[in-house]
Amino acid sequence: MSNAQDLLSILGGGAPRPAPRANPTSSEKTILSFKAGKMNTELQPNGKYMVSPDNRRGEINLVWTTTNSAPSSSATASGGQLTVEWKDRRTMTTVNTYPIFPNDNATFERVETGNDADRVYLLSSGTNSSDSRHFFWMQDKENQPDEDNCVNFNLYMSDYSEAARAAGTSAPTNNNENEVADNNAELLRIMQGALGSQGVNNSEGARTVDVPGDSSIPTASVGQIDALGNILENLGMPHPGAAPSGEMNATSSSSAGNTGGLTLADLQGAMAGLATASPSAASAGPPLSEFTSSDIIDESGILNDSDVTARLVALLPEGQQTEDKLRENIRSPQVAQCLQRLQSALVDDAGSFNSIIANFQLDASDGAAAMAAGNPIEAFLNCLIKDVEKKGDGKKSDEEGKDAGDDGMDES
Amino acid sequence: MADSSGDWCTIESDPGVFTSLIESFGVKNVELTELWSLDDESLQSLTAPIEGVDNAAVHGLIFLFKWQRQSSSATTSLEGRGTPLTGDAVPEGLFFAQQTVQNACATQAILSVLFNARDAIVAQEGGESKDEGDDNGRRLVLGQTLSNFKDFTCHFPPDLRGEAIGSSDEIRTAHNSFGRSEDAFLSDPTKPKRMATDDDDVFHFIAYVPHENGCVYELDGLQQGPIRVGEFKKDEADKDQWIKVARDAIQARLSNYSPTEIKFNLMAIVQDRRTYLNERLSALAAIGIEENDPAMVHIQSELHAEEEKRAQWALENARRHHNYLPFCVELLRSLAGSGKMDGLMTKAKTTAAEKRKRQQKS
Repeated sequence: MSNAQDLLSILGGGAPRPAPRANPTSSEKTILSFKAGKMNTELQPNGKYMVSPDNRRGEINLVWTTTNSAPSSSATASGGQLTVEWKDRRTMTTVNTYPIFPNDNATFERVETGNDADRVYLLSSGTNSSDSRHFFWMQDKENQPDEDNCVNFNLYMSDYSEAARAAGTSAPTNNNENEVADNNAELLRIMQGALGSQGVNNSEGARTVDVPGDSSIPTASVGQIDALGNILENLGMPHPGAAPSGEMNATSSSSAGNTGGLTLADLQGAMAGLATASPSAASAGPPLSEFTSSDIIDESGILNDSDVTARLVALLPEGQQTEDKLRENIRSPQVAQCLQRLQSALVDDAGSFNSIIANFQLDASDGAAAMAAGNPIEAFLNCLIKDVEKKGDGKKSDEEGKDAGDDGMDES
Repeated sequence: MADSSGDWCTIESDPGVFTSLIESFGVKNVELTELWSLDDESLQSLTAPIEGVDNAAVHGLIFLFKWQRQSSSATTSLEGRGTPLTGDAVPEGLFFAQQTVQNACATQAILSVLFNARDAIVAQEGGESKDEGDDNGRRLVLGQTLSNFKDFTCHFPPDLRGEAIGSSDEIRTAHNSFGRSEDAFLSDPTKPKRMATDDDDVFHFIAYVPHENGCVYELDGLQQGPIRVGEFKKDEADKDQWIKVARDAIQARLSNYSPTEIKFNLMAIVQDRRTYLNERLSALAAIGIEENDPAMVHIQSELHAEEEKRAQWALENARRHHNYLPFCVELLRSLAGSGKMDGLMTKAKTTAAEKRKRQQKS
């Protein structure tokens, strides 16, 4: 999706910017904002929690509300209240609001998941109850700002005066309006550029439209068009193709979270955020051909196991049933194609999946959990794992277990 | 018997595949080779591949191409080109068949070249003897199956010839033996093909052959008949002349398209390289050249390279014939049983994600 990245650079890089909002009733300032998704926690029978990502593209906003007019129970000497908000970037609504009080000892910390690529953070308010623990996963492509965001987050939560100061350095109201107007102009310019092409380049699998020539013209995905449509509606502006009115209608929005000023940060969220890999794609598992790459095979060490190599060699074409031909065969286009077809067959429908399971005398119930979760490849691999365990082929064993693959397959 | 395209499977457009395919019919002294360039030098190297050999047989050229995207003209326009010859206008002895089965088009194009080869013989006299005179290795051996077929269809009109090819059990069986074998298991024949079809599926094949009347013909199975694209003089000094005429016709075709519109390949059906290499060795030995003479050594190494090439073809063809499904499942099973699944999965996911990113950037 290079088009989204182009837009990002037009917008001045991927760094999140605090989004000043103009709200006449109380002065709310977002003093920290970054793209993040929620995670769901589920208590399991064994007492442990299972944490899984919520796919929605979102944003964490740390909002400082100055409450000069009406004192509230949470008012402090600094005259304000800090809240953490989670906003759904697609619908542009704030979904969750967590107030943070100075005595909460709230922290925002990185969680070690055992996988360095994970960027999971935990917001906890120190009372140790499950209500006050919220996991998030970073969604910005760049992980450089993570640390800074984390530091600032903790700073503002622990020290209200810092939060107030961060909020207090905002520009006076009329400048805000100018900035919003500038942002809107920029927004329109970008949209007209991005959506000026005729084709819709679909990355989400619904339909394909032929784009004449090669796509040097940036095209927007269906999701991006959706998001932009939302932004435009909320902004009270006409959709692309019509002349922009230039008027900003602050009260046209129907959603609670929208206080009218659409910002570049919002556009950033809508457009560039779509370039981040969605968690479902990542969790569906790598393609089988990737799983059998030379790297993986070497790391697994399976070719050092003489039982394994003997079984594999026996299944090679005649005239090539030697160990030195084994690697060549594994790398051959024929094996890669076969893996691709196997993958398609497993994924396409339950019928194909079941017939493969049956033919190799595996037990479908071993993969039932993964199947239910919509991961047929994982299910298949789980069936294989269980099969190995049952037959004792896992580590070097004395008996040469009868192979699942030996019987029932003819050369056609 | 009525044939449907479902009975012919797709095969790869690969010189090794095609050579093995025709050899399975008993064709000898012939191989397919890819042409990487149409310049004069490359064409000359077809007839004069090594020093001392200047009349290696070139039986025909095959031009294969596929549309990259929906073109305004699904069939090529005939502007500026000759009209297909039909009926009595077709020169005596020129074999042309109309294409009736899409998946068979590669085989059909190759057969067209073989059936038009000059000085073809049915079978090699006396087996493998090399001292039959140096014409022996040069002449294309058609084999019994194809000779019978050629005789059988010699009075047929082009469309009927195409039908005959499409319904020939022998030809179809040989063709299908190079198709993918695990397809039968993995895909449901009643469902439309789900998997992305190979590039080869939609390639269109056009053959160019010289005829004894001094003309070069374009044989396009989608046309009504052969099309004359030029003349050549049977000049002993310039043996590759007809090839240049064919080359010009191909280039004229290519000029109609931008590079993004079509993807194409060029192959030539030529005399088996080993035949003239061996002839050369014999010739040199006959005049007393020693085995360690550079000329001899050079030819020996070329011969060795040819044998290696053929061995590689045999390996690849064996792989194409092989049902790898049990192997693949066993491979996955072994990985599963390594006890390192989680780590391997993670690594594979990361690599896949990185690849996706790189692809997105490009």
